[in-house]
Amino acid sequence: MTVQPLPPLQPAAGSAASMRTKTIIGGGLIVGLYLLPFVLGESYLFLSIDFLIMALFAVSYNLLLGQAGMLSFGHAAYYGLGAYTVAILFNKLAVPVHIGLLASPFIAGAIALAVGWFAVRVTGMYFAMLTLAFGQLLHTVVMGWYGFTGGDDGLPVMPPDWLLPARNYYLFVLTVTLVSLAALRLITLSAFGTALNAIRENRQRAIFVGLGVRNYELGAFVIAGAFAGIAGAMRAPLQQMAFPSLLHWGQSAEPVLMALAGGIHTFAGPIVGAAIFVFTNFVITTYSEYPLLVFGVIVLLVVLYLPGGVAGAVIDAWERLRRRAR
Amino acid sequence: MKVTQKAYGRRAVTRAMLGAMALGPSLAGVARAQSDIKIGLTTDLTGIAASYTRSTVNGVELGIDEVNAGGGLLGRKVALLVRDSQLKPDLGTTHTRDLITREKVDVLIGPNSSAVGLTVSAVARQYQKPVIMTTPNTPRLPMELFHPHFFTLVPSGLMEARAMAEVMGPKGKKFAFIGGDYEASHQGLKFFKERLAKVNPAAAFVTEAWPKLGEPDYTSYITKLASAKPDVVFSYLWGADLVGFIKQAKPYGLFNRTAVGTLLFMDDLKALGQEMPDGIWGQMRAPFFAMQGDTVSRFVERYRAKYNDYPADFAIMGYEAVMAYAGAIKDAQSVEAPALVKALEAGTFDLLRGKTKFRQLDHQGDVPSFIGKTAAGDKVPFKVLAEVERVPADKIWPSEAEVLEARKAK
Repeated sequence: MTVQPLPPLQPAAGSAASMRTKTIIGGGLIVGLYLLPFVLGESYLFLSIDFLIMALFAVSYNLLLGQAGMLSFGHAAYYGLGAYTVAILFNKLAVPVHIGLLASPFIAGAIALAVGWFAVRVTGMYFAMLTLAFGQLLHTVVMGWYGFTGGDDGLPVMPPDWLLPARNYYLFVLTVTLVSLAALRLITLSAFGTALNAIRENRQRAIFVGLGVRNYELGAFVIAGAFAGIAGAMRAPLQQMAFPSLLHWGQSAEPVLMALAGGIHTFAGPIVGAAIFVFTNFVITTYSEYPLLVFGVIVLLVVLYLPGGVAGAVIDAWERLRRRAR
Repeated sequence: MKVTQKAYGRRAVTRAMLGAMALGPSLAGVARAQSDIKIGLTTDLTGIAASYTRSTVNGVELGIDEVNAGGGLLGRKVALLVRDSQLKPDLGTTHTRDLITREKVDVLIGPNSSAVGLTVSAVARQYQKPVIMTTPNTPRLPMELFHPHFFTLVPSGLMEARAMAEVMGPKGKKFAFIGGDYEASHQGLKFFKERLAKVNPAAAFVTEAWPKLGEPDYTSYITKLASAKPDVVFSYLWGADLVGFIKQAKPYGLFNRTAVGTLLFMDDLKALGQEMPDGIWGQMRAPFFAMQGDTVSRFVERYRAKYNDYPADFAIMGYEAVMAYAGAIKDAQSVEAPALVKALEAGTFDLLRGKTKFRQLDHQGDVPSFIGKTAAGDKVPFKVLAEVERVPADKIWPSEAEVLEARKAK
């Protein structure tokens, strides 16, 4: 896939007034999210947890696709490894899930380092194929290693009693997700993030100006894997089970779809994509016998009419309005 | 001109897509009265198990129609809410939770796959809602992952493997195995070997073949089996895998020289039609053609009239789950979980496979395993099983010590 030249990730630094507006909107959103469990019914709360996890998964992925222009087809492997880290620690060593969660980014990141060490040696389609192959390899190992992973039927996980109620688990996931998103945001804005932008824009030139391109790409791959691991670690207790399909390439397609639907050129894009994905998937599988048909149509419509994704389109419209107002 | 054409084309595409989407929601829930007794069924309508799942839903629907035609339960109508888990355990949890917390279902019926079954059972445990499993049969469900709200009407994988060993065990000394390379299959072979050692201590396995699930070419596995010259082949293939294997193994004469015993679903019999060789030992869960009694023949007639098809094992077990709930709700005079669980534990239910009781220890229904020889059917357009033996549950289910051991080990 060729990534076209893009507008800078941060549109020209806004005035102090617009910064203040942004802070107020962001702060309001966060307060609103924390108040949500006191308004929403239990079922929608579980759906919101699902959304938060997918949002982190998609944003971690977009560090590769949107920021560094690396199309990975095996991102679910690290998501699944995060889930299995929690499940295996719980089953073999009786480590409670919220403690196991702390280990997940390190395990997922370590495996991402091992895979990335090979994968970043190639670019473009070859990189995509290699990540896909490694992802399927990890999936096969998890699926077949009965004694350790429970094989294809999965490994049960029981959250502690205080995490069982939807409200508590929601608040837990919300906090972990917000902290992780904030960390990812800082990374995208850092010098490291800017270097990734440079590599995406023109890899050749980035090499010539003296960037250690492979090391930067490897760094992005490891960080993305580690945060996907955190998302996976929150998934296992939600389903009360870690299962091999979490590592499958079908699962790897989900962050790609979410990022594309929401827009890969903004930080919030994948989050919007995750919302669309989770809620439509729920509605469709509730009321329809042909979920894939309906979801395929939605993706097709977005790709045909909103090539910048939903978030991209909204931001474009907003910018246009502002320009007209001036 | 070009621009207009393009715009028109786009509009047409949009219209076609909207049309396609409108066709989608055919299961859309019709608004139902609040006082209905609600049965929630999360199951795998999309994916490789779709046709089995369709049978389950049909059987459950037929059961509910019948209950409602007879005036409902406790003066209330029974309503069914179906959700598609697509063989994905995460959707199994999401939809089952939604059915309980938002739709307020009273009881649950389990899905198709074992992986989804584990998550549905976990949710039932969390919310203390009764769930009856009709298809997923990993022994982990009634053994180490058991909880008091779990019930099952399908013989577990352990029971099925033991039943096979009981019937196939005495048929020779040299045994061979072929099965998909996944957990249930490995477990099945382990349970089979354990029981075989008791049934026929002189028997031994000479070869094992582990094709991957969905393998299209069985040639190398067939030659491997044939060259070991076994007296008996135990197969843990099913569905498209089994159909592929049988079609490809037939020209090698494998079924003439050896006694082949295999899991078998009605869908496989239908798919193979007259190509199905005679004399294969098939193990089924609820073959309608091998079940006697007026209730069964009336059920088959009604099923055929409504769906223009024969009821697969899955349809029969789904129907039975509704009947077990109906019986227990009448006994308990309540749909509240504590009373209902007691009634399910205490009752004996007159189901299609015969009188059925759930064992206190693991809530395993005392259902038999059916094993017979394939032969031409005189009433149906596909092969059926003849000389069917019903291996009773109490001969094959795990002993109390085994169950408690498994739970302690966890």
